[in-house]
Amino acid sequence: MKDRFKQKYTAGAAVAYMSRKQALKKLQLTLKDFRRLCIIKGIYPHEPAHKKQANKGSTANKVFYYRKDINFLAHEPIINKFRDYKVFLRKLNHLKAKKEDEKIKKLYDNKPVYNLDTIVKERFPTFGSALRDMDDALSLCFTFAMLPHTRVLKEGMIDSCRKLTAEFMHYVIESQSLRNTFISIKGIYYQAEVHGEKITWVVPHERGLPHVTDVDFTVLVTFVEFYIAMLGFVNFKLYQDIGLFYPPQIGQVVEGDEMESEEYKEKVYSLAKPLAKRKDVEQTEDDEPLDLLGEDSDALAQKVKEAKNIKTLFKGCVFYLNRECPKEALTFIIRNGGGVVGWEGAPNDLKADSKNITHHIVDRPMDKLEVNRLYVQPQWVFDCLNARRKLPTERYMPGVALPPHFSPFTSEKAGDYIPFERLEELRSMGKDVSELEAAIPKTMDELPMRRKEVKPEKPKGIHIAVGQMHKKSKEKFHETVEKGQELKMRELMISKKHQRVYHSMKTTFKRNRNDALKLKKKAKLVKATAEA
Amino acid sequence: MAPGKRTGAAKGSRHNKKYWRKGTDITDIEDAIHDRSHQAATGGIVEDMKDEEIFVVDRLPTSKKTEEPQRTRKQQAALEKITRNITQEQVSLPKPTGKVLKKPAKLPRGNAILKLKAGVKKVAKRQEKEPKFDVWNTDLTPRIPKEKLDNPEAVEHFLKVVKKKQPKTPGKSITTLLPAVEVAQGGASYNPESSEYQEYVTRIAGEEQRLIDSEEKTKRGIEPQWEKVTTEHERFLEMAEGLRIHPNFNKNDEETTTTVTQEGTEETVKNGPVTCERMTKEQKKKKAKAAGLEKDEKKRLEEKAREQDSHNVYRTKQLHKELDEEEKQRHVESEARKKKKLLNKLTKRQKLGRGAFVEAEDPFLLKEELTGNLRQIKPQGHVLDDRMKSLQRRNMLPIGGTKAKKLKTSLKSKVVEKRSVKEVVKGSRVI
Repeated sequence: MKDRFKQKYTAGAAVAYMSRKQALKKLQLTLKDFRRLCIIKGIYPHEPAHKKQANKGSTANKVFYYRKDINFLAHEPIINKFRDYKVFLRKLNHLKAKKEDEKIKKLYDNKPVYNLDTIVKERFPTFGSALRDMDDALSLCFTFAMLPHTRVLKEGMIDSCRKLTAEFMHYVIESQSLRNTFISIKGIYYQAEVHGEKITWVVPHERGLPHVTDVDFTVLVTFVEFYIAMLGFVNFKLYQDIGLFYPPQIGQVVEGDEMESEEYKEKVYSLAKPLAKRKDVEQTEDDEPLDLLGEDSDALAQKVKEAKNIKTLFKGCVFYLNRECPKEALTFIIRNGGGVVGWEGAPNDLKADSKNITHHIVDRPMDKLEVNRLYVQPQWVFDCLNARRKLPTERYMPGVALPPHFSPFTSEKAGDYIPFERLEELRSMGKDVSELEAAIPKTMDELPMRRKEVKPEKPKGIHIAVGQMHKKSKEKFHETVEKGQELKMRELMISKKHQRVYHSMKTTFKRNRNDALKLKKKAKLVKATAEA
Repeated sequence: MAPGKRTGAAKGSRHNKKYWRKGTDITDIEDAIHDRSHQAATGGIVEDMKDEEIFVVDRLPTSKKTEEPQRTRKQQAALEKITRNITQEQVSLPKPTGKVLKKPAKLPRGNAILKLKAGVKKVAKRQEKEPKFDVWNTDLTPRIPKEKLDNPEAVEHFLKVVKKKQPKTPGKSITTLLPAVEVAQGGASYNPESSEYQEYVTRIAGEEQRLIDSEEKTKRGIEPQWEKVTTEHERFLEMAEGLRIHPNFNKNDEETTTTVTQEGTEETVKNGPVTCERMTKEQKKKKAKAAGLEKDEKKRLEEKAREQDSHNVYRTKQLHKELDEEEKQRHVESEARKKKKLLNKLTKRQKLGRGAFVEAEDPFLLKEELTGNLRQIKPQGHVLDDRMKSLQRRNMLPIGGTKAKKLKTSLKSKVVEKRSVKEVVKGSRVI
């Protein structure tokens, strides 16, 4: 009987994957539309394990997608909207050439739009999954909110980015969930804990953003388009959870038209005023768990304690921001800590000479100081949040060289050089630093001095002395020698393969130790010269 | 005065003054003055009058009305239908005389203007922003009311066909384990601690140095190290060799010739004599003996192995144990390999598209640029750049690259008729 051979490329990787070109052909879409669709639906390319198989024998570097993903995309109703849009553009072109303004207006009124509600739910079946994807969304939206509008970046998109980010910041303030901040030269990093999820995002500095050339804006715009839809829902849910009105309301309840006014928007965006809460929702104060847990060194208890510290960080303080300070960042942090913020022209219009100001934030040399308030530089606010307590203000006075600003996101390893200030900060945060401290190598003067034993002078001539016991220290010496020998023997026993790794590890330990020692010595020297 | 008919002084030469006074024809001017005075006396000077005072716009048709084309009754009816005044209030049709069988017809429904009068304004569809709702607590699955279609399977099918309902989402695998936002290192702080800053900057400097080195290396590879370029002067000297213009012509003729001959003798290469040495009898014997010994040894080893194999029957238990162990080991290794593969997939960059991933350069400030306060900070790097790189690193975006141009491997043939061939026509003589 004749054998029936299986045809090549009818199973396995050849069928499981689909190249982008094939996908375009299947979906009848242009590359631009396909890219948009993939981003909106959250479908990403994959590198096949057997590239040659998937590529039907060729080794060219192509973009591959899972076939099942593409099949799934084919059912998407948005594809029809894309096609409608294509028709819309064609009609628009036609009418514009004919200069039929009436019809153009009518056409614009009936512009095809698509709705991303179902897609948001499909991609994030639970609220938690949406929260886990907030990092990207927030970072992009915060940046887009600062960009000028162009042909690709529509004004409406930038406005909604601004709106949604302000809303989110309001939520963080109201729920007092900001945990860490870090000012880097790239921008300011924030970390908040929302529903137990750590959300980290970056906000560029409040300067004109430089022009970027090698960024494909059309791609990012599509991402932002989806994130705007998602953030809207997330914000709504977050607001619902803590009993706030959505869209946010300040003071009295206002209606639709008034909310759209520029003045009202500015008020909301300034973050300076607290939001109105719904009457029908009971406000819960959860102080109980802390009492239940007690003063354990348990990690959870520690966390709860930290959260409570942050909530009452700036309670009862009134801050006045000088006009050169970054208002958004400072307002965000201070209000998160329960403080009150104001500046000239703010919604609450705090005057510089107001009597109830406790802290005045200044970022330039001052010559006229008032007596009954503390003057600090902006870094103090950031460092206070990271340290979870109000730091002494002496080192942050205007005109004083500031202490270094540490990143709260780095975790210290035992054996590294940790500056004295950082150790202090860690200790103040209630962390156990004994291990870190112990691992710091000691300088010569720190080591316990070996006391020279004063030998009793031997009497000259023949004499009789009491017999001496065998020296214990010598025994110890022998022991250490033996230990060393044993170690050496064990080192010899290591297989050749692992020997190299072992030695390289040893040298790095040694190097790190030396580095740390050197740095410590330097710091000591600097301190000594400063004191002298 | 008629032309050609001259009288009196006019008969004389036209060059003289006399002619100017007497012979000039002034009738035109006199006529014009007369006209003007007459106009002034009768109504007014026409030249000074405005258009409206003189002319009247003629509003009456001058030509006879064109006759209407003859129309059939049908055409006339159609014309009336399209030209009738639709703003006119329409009343119900006249009541039929005689027996009434049906109800009177209603007003035609499509009278838009009447509706407009009545106050029903049609507003163009505006894309209003819908208020947000709780997506996670609302059911978004499309439905069809039961009275329209009560067969659930049919409903399902219908919704799928009209793309209202989506098929099940394919299982989403986690694309990456990398964090979405990587926080900048401590050294990138706007007011960094000196040791952290040092560490951060030395790392960047090291990377930069490596880049410079690699660039230099490629440069070295591309450029020939000891390339000799013939200059124009050298070329000239070579061409002028032996000519009168050569600076060294006839200078030391003899010396050069001698040196040339000497060099010539040195350059000839001599091959060594080819020898063919044969092995002596002794050597042959030795070699044969060694070969024999080797063969014996091989045989002995084979024998030994066979014997050992035969003994293996008694240690099957041991062998089973060994095999089991080997299998177990292999399984452990394969598991580890799988784990590593997965980890690589989730943490490393995949090759997606033609382009190569370029790691973003970490921004840094020089020591003198670190102002130490927030007001004078000099922001570095761009967040969007970072975002883009992060998306690429997490395998969420393909990286495009230019397609390599293919060089033509075969050239096209072109048919050309040479002139000499073209010249040959019918009847031309072959020489």
